[in-house]
Amino acid sequence: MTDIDELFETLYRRHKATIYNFIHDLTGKPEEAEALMRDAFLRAYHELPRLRPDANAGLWLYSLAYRTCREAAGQLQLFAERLRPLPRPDSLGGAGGAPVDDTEAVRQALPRMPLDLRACLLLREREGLSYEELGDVLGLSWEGVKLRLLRAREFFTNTYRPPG
Amino acid sequence: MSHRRFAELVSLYCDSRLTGPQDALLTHHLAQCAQCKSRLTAYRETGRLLRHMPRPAPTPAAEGALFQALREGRGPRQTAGRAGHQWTVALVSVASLALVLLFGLALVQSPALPQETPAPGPFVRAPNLLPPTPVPITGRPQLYAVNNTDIGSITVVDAETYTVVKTVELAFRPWTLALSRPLKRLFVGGQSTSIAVVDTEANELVDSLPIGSPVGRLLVHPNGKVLYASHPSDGSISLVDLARRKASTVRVGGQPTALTATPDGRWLFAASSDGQVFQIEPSALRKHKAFTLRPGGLPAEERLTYDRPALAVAPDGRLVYAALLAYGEVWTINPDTGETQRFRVPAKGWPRNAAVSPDGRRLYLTYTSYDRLPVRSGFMTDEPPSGGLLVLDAATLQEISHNDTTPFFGLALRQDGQVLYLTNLFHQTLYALESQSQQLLGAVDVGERPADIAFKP
Repeated sequence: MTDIDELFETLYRRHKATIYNFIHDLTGKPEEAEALMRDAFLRAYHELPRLRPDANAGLWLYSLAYRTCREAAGQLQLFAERLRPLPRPDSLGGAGGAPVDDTEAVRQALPRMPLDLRACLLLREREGLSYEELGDVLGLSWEGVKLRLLRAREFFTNTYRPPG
Repeated sequence: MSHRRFAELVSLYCDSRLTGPQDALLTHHLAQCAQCKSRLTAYRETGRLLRHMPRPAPTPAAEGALFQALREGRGPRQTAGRAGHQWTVALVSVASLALVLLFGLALVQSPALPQETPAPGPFVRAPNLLPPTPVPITGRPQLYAVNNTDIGSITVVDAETYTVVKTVELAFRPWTLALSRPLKRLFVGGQSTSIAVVDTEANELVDSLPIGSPVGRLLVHPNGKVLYASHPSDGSISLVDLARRKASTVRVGGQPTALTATPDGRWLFAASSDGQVFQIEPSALRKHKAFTLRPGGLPAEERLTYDRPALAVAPDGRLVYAALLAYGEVWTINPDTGETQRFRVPAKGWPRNAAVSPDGRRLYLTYTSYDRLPVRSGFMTDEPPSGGLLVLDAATLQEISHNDTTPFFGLALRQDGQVLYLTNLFHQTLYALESQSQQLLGAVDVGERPADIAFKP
């Protein structure tokens, strides 16, 4: 209907850059990020009529993007991540050679993190979401957010290899 | 206290989420513990590194692919694993190609629908804006309702017996309609680059006007010679010279949808989703003015509040009404002076349509709202929308009555103002109400998602 289409366009124009960035950072693969962004927004379009009018649309789109990326990463892989103990970050090999700058170093470190930790860290540090907003997007309690963020920070700190 | 517990506190400290006693405890600990101090430095460095990463932008091709998928009615792919993801991409591409080929073939073979021609070029002359023409009334009164579904149609209803007399099939999803003057043609726009033209005697599709991009709302100039079409997707208004079948475009910006025009045809007004109302001078093919309506108590920008004003014009053309019912406000705009005035009215839901009675005394507004929602539980709701009809005194903008029984959407008035015709988008129904008492005169099932309606005397 025209209102939904109109509303969708407004949401898309307002949030496309942030959602694309989030997916790009989460996947680390520009070639997949655009397809996943399209899927997330298609999902948004189909779910839009049921969206609560008082819902925070930006958070809702983050949650759709996160769900879309999780599904793309594969449920089996996700369960495997949950069932087995986390690998020791220092046991993980580097992807490629030594990074030449901060950006490359971060791009090398992020994919080595489990997806749920990566998402939590990115949404907090890069997108600036509060604990309450993280809870909405990731489906966690305040305590859950606190612990996941701590784990994410620890993991990144141990995984990150500075340039040079 | 363990280092694990201090690590939690350090993480919270980074985000300024410690309570006073916790803050004091950690500050004291940090002064003594090199390990926690180094952890704090590392966490802060993590934030700095992530915030300073470049922010790449999606390519225009990504946007094109999304809107192409929407036009084709596709949903998100079922993505399971990376290999599946890539296979899905390939399959969707092949399926899309097949669909495009099939759809193209169907269009070529369809005798009912004229082939779409390319978008019209620029128009050198302004449309001929003569005074309004009287409308001769012939035949039985009829109502037209657009069925806003992927398989779009127009439902034609006998306005005396409230029975469906015909369904006119369309090849696109219709949103809006407008009757020509004289009332021989019905123009239908929507998710198509053409406007369908229906003969109102035979109730058959007889023509198609190329318009270039999807249409949000249609309006016929009071002289019957020009058809206005708003285009939310590209922020423009088309002015179609019906005799020459040529269109000119006025760029206004925003996402214009709702349209209304003063009876002398001098001014056209368009409302956009971002709360702007544009005043357009059709004879000069230019945007005259933009009004940004800033409601009091504006909620946070991120709140998803439908704020496109519903528009109506007084019969004497001296005032334009712009209703922002979610904020409980109606604004009036004086077309000649540009003066605006804000009135408080009962806060309702999303404004859908507006009309002023022929005597200029009443302003009718339809709205849908979700105000009966249970407590917040996630982002989604399965609660059916509520809504209704609000009647205001057009001079004072005080409430005369309201009817919150059902989410009314489309709104049309009989020419004498005695009967209101309303659609309910969610319940497949078209209602006729006596406009003063709001007594139900008739109701008819008009098929799925009836949205915009028109009354032909």
